[in-house]
Amino acid sequence: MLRVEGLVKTFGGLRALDGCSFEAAADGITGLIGPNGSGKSTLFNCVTGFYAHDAGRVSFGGAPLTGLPPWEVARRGIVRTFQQTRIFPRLTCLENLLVAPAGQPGEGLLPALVRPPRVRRSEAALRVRAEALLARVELATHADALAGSLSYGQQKLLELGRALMTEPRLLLLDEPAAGINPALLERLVELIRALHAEGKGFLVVEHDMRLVMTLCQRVVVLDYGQTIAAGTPEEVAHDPRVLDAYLGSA
Amino acid sequence: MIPHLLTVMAIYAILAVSLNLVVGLTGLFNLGHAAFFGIGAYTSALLAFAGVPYPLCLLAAVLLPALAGILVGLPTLRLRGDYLAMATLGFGEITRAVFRNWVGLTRGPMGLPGVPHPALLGLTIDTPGEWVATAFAGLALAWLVAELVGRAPLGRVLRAIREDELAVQALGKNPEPYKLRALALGAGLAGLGGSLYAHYVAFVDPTPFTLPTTIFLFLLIVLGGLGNHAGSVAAAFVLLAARESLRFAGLPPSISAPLQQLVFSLLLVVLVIYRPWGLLPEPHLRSGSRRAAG
Repeated sequence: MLRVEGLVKTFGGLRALDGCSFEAAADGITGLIGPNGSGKSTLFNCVTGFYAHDAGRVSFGGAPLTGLPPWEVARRGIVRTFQQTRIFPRLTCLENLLVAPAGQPGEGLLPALVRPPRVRRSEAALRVRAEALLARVELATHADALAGSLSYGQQKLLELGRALMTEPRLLLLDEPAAGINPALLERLVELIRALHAEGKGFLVVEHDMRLVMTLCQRVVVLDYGQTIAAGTPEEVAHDPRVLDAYLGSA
Repeated sequence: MIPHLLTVMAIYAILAVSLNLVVGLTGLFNLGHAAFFGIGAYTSALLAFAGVPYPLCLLAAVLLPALAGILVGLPTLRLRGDYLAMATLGFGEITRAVFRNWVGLTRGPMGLPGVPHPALLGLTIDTPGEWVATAFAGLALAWLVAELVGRAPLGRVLRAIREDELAVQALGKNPEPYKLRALALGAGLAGLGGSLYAHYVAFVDPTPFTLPTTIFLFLLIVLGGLGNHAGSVAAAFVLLAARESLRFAGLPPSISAPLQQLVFSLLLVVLVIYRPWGLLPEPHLRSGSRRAAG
């Protein structure tokens, strides 16, 4: 369970998050929606340690995440993707995945130079996992291509595959559907459902309402940095406050 | 003449490879690299004067710059891009000032003449042929280290840091220890070049260990392709050959030296504008089904 309580983040005079609170099950698919500027990306950045928030608490599985740097948050099983993909363009697709797991034995200076057997074993095992994941994100044939040569949609899938290499418990996806063509989007939805069936949790920021409504079990709605509604997609879709936030009252 | 040129080429190639590990592989904009070269040179020379056997001088000439690299890196590696460049530039200037002003140790601008010829395995290296062999052995060592690191998981992380540091953090890795490793390694290899330089030229003064040398090394690694070690070595050979041949153009030194700086600086500017990643691309490793099966 990811628990966010009373989160506040200000940028100068702007309160991007204004006491936002919600919970996301570690094994569920939770949607996070809200109008532009409602604080969704700021929330992602605060939860994953990229921003230090001004007040409030974030915890995962009962353990506080507040004040941890991004890599510590990731090591606790919360791994994010970015709204603008952040793949490693001049690494191959396979290398993008191989680089992801933390604490590899070949990352020390001495093991890099003498390459003991445990480094070779670790590399072989990683390679098997990376190739399997590349196949799952439909990039098996691109293993040796530089990641920068992929289409935008493929880069999003690569980023998801790279995040999966770290064996996260909860994946935070920032607009996974943006810029993806319909055919690829269908594959992405299938993949998320399959991963969910395998026990992975998702917190998804998304503008595509149809996607949110079909994919998510729970939806949290942000407006002006506050949680204005939370519930099943149906409940949220008929909540007057949500309609008001999206359509505006006359 | 030719053995001299080959020895100098090999030493510069070592320096270029060492800077390429930091700038090309890891993407750290290090403008103080010549300082590590200098620390290696002074360390080796001073220990040799004190009667320390050469293998130990060489070891210290690698370890001390590496340590200096870590000390500089600890407070500055959190800085990004331009700020790291300024911090390393400052470090280079401070080091130069120390070389110039710690007269009791370095004799300042007068320099240290008569650095003894090194003795390795009972053999004193003093003929031009032996020097070529020694310098190329040093280059082979630097090359091997750079290749091994580049192909290891460590090199993969370093390239990932160069590409996108935030993404590396998001995957659960703190980039700092990796950047420190790259900086220490680059500094250590520059120290190796420094030791060879000091004992070959047999004279150490502060002039070679300043910004113009770093800029020349940047030219070499950009010319050869950032992240491409073979390119760095090739660039060192080609550019030093060109520099030496300028001497035969019959120009007086008062013209040829500034002209050379002008030409090299212009070349660097043109390269950075039109081919920012250099003439040769970074080689990338093919996964290959053979290795996947093994």
